[in-house]
Amino acid sequence: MDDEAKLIEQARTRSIEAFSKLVLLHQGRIRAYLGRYVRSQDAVDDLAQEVFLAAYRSLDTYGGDSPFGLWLLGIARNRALAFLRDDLRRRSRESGRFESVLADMRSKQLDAEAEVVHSANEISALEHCVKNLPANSAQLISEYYFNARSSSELAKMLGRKESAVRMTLLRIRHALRACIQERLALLKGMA
Amino acid sequence: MIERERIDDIWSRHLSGDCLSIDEQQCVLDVLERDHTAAAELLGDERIDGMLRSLAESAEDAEAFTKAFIDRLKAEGDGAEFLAGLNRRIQKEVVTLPPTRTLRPAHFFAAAAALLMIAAGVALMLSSQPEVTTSSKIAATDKAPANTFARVTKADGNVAALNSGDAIEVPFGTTAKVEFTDGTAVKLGPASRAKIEERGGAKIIELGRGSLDATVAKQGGDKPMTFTTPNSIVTVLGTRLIVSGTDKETRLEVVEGKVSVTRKSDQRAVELAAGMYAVVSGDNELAARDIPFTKADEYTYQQDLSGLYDTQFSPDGKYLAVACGDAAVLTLLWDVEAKRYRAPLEGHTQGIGAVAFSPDGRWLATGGADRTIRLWDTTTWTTERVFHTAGNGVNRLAFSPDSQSLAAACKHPAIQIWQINGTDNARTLKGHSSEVWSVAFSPDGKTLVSGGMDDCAKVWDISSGTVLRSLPHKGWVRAIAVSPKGDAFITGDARGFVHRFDLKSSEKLSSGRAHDTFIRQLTFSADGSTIGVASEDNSASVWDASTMRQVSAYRKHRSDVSSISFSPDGLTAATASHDNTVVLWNASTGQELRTLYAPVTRQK
Repeated sequence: MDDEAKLIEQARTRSIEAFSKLVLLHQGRIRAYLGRYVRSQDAVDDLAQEVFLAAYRSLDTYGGDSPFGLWLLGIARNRALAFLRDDLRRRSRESGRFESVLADMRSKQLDAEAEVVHSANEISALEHCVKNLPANSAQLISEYYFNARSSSELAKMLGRKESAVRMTLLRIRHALRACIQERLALLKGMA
Repeated sequence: MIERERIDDIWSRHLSGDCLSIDEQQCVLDVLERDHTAAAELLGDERIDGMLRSLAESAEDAEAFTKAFIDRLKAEGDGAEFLAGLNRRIQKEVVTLPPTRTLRPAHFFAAAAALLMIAAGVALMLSSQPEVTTSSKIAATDKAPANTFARVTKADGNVAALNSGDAIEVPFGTTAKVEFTDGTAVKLGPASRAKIEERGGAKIIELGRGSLDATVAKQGGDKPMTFTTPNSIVTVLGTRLIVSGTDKETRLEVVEGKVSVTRKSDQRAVELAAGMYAVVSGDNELAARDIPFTKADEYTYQQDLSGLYDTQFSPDGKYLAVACGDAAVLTLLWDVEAKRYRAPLEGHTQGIGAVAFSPDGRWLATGGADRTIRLWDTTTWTTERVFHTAGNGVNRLAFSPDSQSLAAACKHPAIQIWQINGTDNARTLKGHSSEVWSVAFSPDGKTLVSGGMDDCAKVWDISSGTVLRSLPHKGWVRAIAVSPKGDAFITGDARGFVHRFDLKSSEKLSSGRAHDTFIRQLTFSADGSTIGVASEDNSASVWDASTMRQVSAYRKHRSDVSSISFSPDGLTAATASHDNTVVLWNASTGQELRTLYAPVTRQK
């Protein structure tokens, strides 16, 4: 029995300590999954907490026939869908057309993604692609996302225009997207 | 190509949290709706941006997230509270639950299925046995129980039978009516929790939380109906009464007949006749007092309103105006000196979201969901002007410092400004891309600041009507205020942060978390030394404006605190809440001075 399986068995006996280790292990992927469609980081964190609460309470229904991470992603998908539908209703009622159209598109895209395994692969591929970025791009991504520097701060640091920094970030994301697609195709070919 | 570069630029600004103008939004919308390939690219980019942000956050605070989860798990328990939360979220209607049932995780799905059946309108009585083990068992109880003695009417009109011992939980924003076979009717207010029992032929209602309004049919002399709260017992034979309160304090008002109330701790009792009230708390003087209305025979407390949305002291400190968000149609005026509500101001045809006194004290403006703003003469309390708003009404109102113009933050993406002595035609400032929540003038009257549902605060030049600066926030900006000196303004965001900006340059001077969630209103004291903060975490607080250190915290409300106002001398603060109460506080110590219970409405 591997470590995760042991933790799951212990968590089934209502061991909060064991379950907290599972949370620590999986929170990154769950939050990244939710962040794909939910724009507010606060909402992502709240939803992720709800995913783990639901998982803890229904641990008895986890049969072990699929990886635990995928089971969690299944719960996350349902939560994200419910959130996006609520968000769409709210935005249709209260916000301008821009937010409503985007909320509608996000909701439809997630709805169309029936297989969470694809999303899991996408997150893995992104992690791989970020690690393999050219040094300059990796540094910019790291400063912007991981060190939370704004584009104006980065522009001052690099002696460039803010709009140029934003466009560079956009191009790096495009490159990441192409890299992810290649890697997913590779995984599909291997399967 | 140039077009695509422009879209990319706008899109990258959108992803970095900038506020887009209406034109820029339209540009993106055109692409999203016309060009499916480009739309897929933009949304794909948004997805990667979102994943990167979340991965960064999770790498940063994995342990903090896990700790927060453990705290939440411990706080919410294994399932019962979670079910209650689920119930509130998915149903928005009444659910009856057996009183002592404990839900084990294995039974969660069965119970959730039952709740969903109720949500779908299936008439269902859960078994009152201590545990439910299968969904088929729940379905098997879907028959009229033999010991049904009352029925409950849910918010949507659906009726369910009640057994003795059943508990009722009423979600916020709705009410429930319990009717007994003898005609006794008990209306449970929003967010109430009550257990209904029959012992030896006597009816007992245990009010755990919230409020109730009861009309009791004549009961047998030896079987009086009893209402219990955590600290009092109310015994009635046949009358109409209102009980409300918390676990520490109970308020009883008698509308008809006579009622006695007993304090559990010392068994002291007092009798109340119609038109009287008593407050039972730990060690107060238990006494019957007259209900303090201007016209007690015409008005009664209303327990099931949709909440109070705004409050403000008049410049002379004599009155406190309160906006009631209910179709009960009233603006309330608390007479500070007489310590009583005046007769409410009637005229709006739907609930009121905002009130504002003019700085010269001559006018009170009230804005309602009926899309009108009424201007009341504060000497006669009659309507002098009615302005008509575009869209769906008003969120906040602000007078200019010279009292000559009135700005409204509207429920559509605009700010409207009327000249008090002008026509009904308002100037419209367009720039927010979504509902505008808050608006405030600078002391020199030249600048206006506003906050909206588009996650932006904006600084406006009033003379030209142009946006000087847009300041992106994380989440809606529902609160904004300008310091009386005019050197700075503050905004409150969705995460409970208060941000201070230089009014001239819009440079952010400081940020700090004041509350756990949405800031609903910010206000400076008249001398600018303190800042009042109202929040959706059910509390309000006062902060030193120069150091941004907390001076005092106000915790008593049972729902969102929508508004806070300081008296002109700065000694008293008033908070209004969705729990339908206004609380007056000692502004500096945070000591509660008085609770103004549910507002008044004319009896139908």
